[in-house]
Amino acid sequence: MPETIDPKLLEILACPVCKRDVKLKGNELICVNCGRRYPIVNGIPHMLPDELR
Amino acid sequence: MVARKLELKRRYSETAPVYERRYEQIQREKYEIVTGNLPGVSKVLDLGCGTGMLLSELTRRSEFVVGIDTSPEMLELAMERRGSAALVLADADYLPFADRSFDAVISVTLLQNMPDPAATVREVARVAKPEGIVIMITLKRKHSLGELERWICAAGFKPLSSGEVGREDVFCIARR
Repeated sequence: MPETIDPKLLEILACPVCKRDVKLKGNELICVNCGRRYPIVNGIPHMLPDELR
Repeated sequence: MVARKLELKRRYSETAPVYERRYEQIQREKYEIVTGNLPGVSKVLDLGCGTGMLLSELTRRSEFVVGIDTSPEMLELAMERRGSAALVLADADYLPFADRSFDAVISVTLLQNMPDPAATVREVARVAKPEGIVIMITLKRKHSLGELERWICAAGFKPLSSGEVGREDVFCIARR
């Protein structure tokens, strides 16, 4: 089941590293610029930079 | 810097179950500073929301509230009391939000844990709207009120009100 996300949240979410837009694809948010992938776990986007995961 | 943050993340995750019992009374006073000074605004960010003690109060005053924390265990507990607030696992130095997203950014008991608070406040300024307000509270024995005001001013805000909260903390409320 793909995760759902509040549209108001999706509108302002950005990549924590390069600050560009992210797009929802299945259970992940993917940065349109650097391609980093951020999983959504139990409805919570996990948006930590690489070294803090 | 990364090692310290990872250690904090681990420590907060371990203490998540007892955090509320231990700190609710102390936090309450600080929350009154926040709720008493927060104008009716639409989008609010709570940095280091922990178990979400402040979130439900913020949702009563704002249209849209987002809480962030680096500890998944803290956010799991916050799920139960967040009201309509959205939660994101994130670090305050790497905010996963577009520029100028929030009318107000709240930081209660967070800056004392950040390796470079001036840099954290600059990142906060990036996500605050041009007319945005910041409400920051930090531990007095880590940072003086003067330091807190200096970081906030350096990030482009003008203090509206500042002082001590209880015996242990200092606060500053500022606007651009």
